[in-house]
Amino acid sequence: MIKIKNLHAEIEGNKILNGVNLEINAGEIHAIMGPNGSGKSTLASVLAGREEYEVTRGEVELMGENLLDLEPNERAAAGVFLAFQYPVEIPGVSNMNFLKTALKSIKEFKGEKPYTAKEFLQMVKKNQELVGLSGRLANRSVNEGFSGGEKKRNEIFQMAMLDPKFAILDETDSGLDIDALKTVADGVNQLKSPEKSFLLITHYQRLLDYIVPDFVHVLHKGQIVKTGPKELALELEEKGYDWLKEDGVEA
Amino acid sequence: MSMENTEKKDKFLAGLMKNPTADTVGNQQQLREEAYKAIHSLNFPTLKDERWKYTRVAGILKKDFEHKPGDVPESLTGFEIPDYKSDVLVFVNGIFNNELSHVEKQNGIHVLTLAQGKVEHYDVIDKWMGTIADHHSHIFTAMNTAFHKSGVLIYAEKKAIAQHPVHIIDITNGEGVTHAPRNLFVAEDDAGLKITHSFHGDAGENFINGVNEVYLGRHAEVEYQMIQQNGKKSNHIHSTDVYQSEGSTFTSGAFTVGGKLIRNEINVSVNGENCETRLNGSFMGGDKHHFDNHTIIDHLVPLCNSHENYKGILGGKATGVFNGKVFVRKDAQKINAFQSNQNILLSDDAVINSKPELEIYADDVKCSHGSTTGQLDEEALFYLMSRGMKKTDAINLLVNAFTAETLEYVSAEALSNYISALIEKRSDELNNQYA
Repeated sequence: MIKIKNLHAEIEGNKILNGVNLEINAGEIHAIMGPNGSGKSTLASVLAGREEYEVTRGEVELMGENLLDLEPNERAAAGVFLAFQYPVEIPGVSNMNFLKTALKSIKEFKGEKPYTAKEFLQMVKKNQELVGLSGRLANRSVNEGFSGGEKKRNEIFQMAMLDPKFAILDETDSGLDIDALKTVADGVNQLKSPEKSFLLITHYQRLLDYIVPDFVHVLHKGQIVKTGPKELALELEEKGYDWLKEDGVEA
Repeated sequence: MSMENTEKKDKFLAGLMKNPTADTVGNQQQLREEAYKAIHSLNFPTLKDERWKYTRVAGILKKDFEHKPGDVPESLTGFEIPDYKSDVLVFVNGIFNNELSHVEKQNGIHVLTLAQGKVEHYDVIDKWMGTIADHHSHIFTAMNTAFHKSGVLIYAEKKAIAQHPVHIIDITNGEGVTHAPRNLFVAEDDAGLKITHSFHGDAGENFINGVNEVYLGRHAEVEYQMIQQNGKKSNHIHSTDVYQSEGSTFTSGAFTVGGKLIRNEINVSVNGENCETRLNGSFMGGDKHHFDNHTIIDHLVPLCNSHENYKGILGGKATGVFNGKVFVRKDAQKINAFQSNQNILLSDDAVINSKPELEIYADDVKCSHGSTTGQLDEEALFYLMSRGMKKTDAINLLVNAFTAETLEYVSAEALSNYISALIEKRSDELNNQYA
């Protein structure tokens, strides 16, 4: 599904990613853990196409296509989805209008027929239920006045609507109470399929109790320093990240 | 004024004075003569004038403008507002076109050209014209008063509420054209009027110098929406001068999506308690456009609300000006005045001069004013694009959302949709000036 090879990226001259190598096959769920400042969110941003980050070396292939050449909207059309750590509030833009336009663009990009109004509404209804997002919120401006949990639910709702092939969840668990966390995890688990891949970025092991990863990677100083099965997450929870501090740098 | 400037002014005025119009009924001719005298004692504003600090009109004076007829369109396609049932009055280069116009008769509502009005309702005209707009100290108002040839009178008798709006369509085409629309809108006690005024033009350089006078009687309601789709070389100075009596509501909108040099002035004198005054607008410029909105709300008496919201979006090397002044006079207690101007600059070379001002001489008032200027929200843009929206669509969506508040008081949905669509179209044009 996705192949990340020797990826280096920087922002304003600060090197953040220093050669990330990662391959995720279709149907797999990978988790990236690591201390603050290790480059987790940068990796998510670079994959989604955030402009501020400059890729200085390396490549990323999504199903054989060079992802780094694509604009963020083209990446979305190719099947990449990023659930934001901090979803943006956009006053005056209705959630529905935005999703309708986004879906239309994606369909257009793929040369497919747009959904009919009826199909769209059916999808909205189904996916709202999936993530427990009330219709009242769906009709408001994008994320405006939403609580932290509502914003995260809205991210998963959008993910369900856009039906991506490769979804990155950037600290989706942060700021969620246990009920919201379960709902979000349920949503992800129901969307899971042999054709889809997920990359979970998280600081804590907690999310991985509900979404079970196939592999866990530890990111440190912009590199993957350890990879293991799901049990690695538990080990990290126990040991923390102190063992990474071999050179005395605050982790 | 230097000798050179005097010569320039005389030469400029000579163009405007060709084939002058004279009035024979009532005291209208006297008004023209007063204004004519005022012109000679007044100077054209320069950047040294506080009120014109950011807007240079010298460029207009360099050019020769004349009143001359233009090409009359075959139909109103492209000028009419879809699904908007209204009376329509069409002017081409300031000349009324009867064929394209239509007015439905309504009890107590009189919609006429100013020329007709001066005959059929000269009492109304004599009573109000020249009493609200200031032709003594404002040179452009004086020029309009002295040289205007046409315009509209809309007169609502006591308790007459218009069942549908009036749409004035002002089309300007050809090179070197000038005209000076002069409109008088009178809503007597408990009357109601809705007026939409749209400007359209071709690529020719022109100079439009308009004046509206608006009188609102007690508990009257007037909504005036101006839509400027002027051509890219259009110079347009327009003053809307308003008098509000007790309990009246005046709503205006100024939506500028065309023109080269635009100066909109709105001066509202609130002289009765329990009035509402709402001034809104959006201006969207690119290239080297210069769009200036100058407003004054003068709260002379207590217990009134005013609400002002202007939004600017500027790309290219465009300049925007917002100068809104709210006066709260001594003893005008319990005034709520809200004033806001927000701007988005799409390019590094676009400039905004924003000056919201409050002058308060009463002590029990609630007034707020604010101004913000920034770039398009990059984070929001990325968010929208990451969901699959094309950059242009995402920018249009953000621009529309940004300007949406200024459409809040456009009462007719068809009109609001029409303006939204113009804003979106303009946003598309400005997209390529986004840096």
